[in-house]
Amino acid sequence: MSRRAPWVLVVPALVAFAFLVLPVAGLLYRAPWSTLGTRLGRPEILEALRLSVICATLATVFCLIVGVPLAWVLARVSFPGRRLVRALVTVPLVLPPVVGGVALLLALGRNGLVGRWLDRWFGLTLPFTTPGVVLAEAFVALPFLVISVEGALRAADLRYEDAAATLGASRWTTFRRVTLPLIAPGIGAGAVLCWARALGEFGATITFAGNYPGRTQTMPLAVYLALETDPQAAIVLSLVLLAVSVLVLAGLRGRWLS
Amino acid sequence: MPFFTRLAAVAVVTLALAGCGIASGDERFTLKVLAASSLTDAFGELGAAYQAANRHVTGVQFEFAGSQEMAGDIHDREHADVLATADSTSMDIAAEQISRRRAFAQGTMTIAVAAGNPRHIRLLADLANPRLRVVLGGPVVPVGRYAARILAKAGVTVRPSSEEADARTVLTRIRTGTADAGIVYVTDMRSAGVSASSVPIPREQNVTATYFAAAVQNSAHGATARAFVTWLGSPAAVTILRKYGFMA
Repeated sequence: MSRRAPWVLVVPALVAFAFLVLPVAGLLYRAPWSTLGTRLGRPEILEALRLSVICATLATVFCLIVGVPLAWVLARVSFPGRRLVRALVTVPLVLPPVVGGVALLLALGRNGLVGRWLDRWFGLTLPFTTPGVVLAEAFVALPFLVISVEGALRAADLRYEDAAATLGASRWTTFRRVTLPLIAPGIGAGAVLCWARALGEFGATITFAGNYPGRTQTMPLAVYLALETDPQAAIVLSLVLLAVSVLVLAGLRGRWLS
Repeated sequence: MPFFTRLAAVAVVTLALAGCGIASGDERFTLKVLAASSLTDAFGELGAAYQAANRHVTGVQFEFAGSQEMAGDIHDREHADVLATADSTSMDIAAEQISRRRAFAQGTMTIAVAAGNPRHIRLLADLANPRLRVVLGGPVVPVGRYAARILAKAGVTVRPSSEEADARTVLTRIRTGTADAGIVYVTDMRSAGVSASSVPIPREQNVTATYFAAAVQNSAHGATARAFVTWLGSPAAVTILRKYGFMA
């Protein structure tokens, strides 16, 4: 029996790999390495980076707080329409982010379904604010967390939870003391994916939160707006985004995704 | 297996269509124009008029976005024939890729507000109110540069809620009620219909926006591209531009 990988699989695999790596290579090739240091030190770049990291982190925290329970409900509670709910949860994955931003405006904008009342009762408006950025990012990134955690919950051995229940633990205690530690790697992986997706979010952010340096201009927005007038700056910004993403994914992949 | 058969059939049809395109490409072609977002409506009609008068052109295909974006794109485009921007500065971005630019239209600016002006905005100075959500074009976008000049002339400092990438996006923010006011081209207001109102900016505070067009140097249809740019100054084109509120 031959152990060699069949070429019908190897060739497309190489094509796929080249396809994914080539644009990154282009970025590295065109990068203005000699002036990289001074460009990176520019306050507007640091400001965009700082805002991006803060917003992506807050979005991830928000996703963890509401996403883990949602995943648990989807995996452990049977109720009518569960399949529909699961399908709806994944909608932001396939929705063009700009459409997501428009939808957020229609729901949470000043004249939106809910936003109108937020404005009238609490004087709260989300578009054009940093919390608006967090929300737009969370909207797009939440499914990544939910899917990852739900997968971990489904793969987890139910017998541990059953044992805890027979020993008299309530469902909440079981979740806290047994389920949560069991699925921690899945939650970690989901949080990392969620964070990376939030960090790179563009369409929903610019549509819902607008663009203003220091308040809503995250790195991807800065890249887009710098592209025409200062392509070198756009490349530098892209490199930073790339480096941060790769570092996070590489650093955590070994620990959680495998 | 049926899937692959279908796939093959699709491939054959696509190739056949591509073949047709190549065969007739020498005589008849589509002119590709990259233009500032504020030209959207006027250029739609200009394109139809140009095509009607020039039978060798099968169509004029437009792409609209911020002037700076279109100018920056020329460099990486395989196929672009004409560039039209809302100021000279954004033309400079593409200076190496274009032939001589030609000013073909002018316009002025106005304050766009929600329909019926519910916030009672009357003057440029009203835009300084911190409780008002004002949206402007970004500093690299023509509509933003013109707005900055107007505000500087009037001595008004505005803290915008957002800096948008093109004029039409500024107007959309106001039409959808996301923002209270913005500074846009007078000609943009026509596209808003009844969904937005405008507060005129006095002549002494206003600026003149000048639109430029140029043929792209490595265009495959250089002669036609240059002819189109010249045609923008013809009586037929001027009539259409004026109809949309431009000074031409």
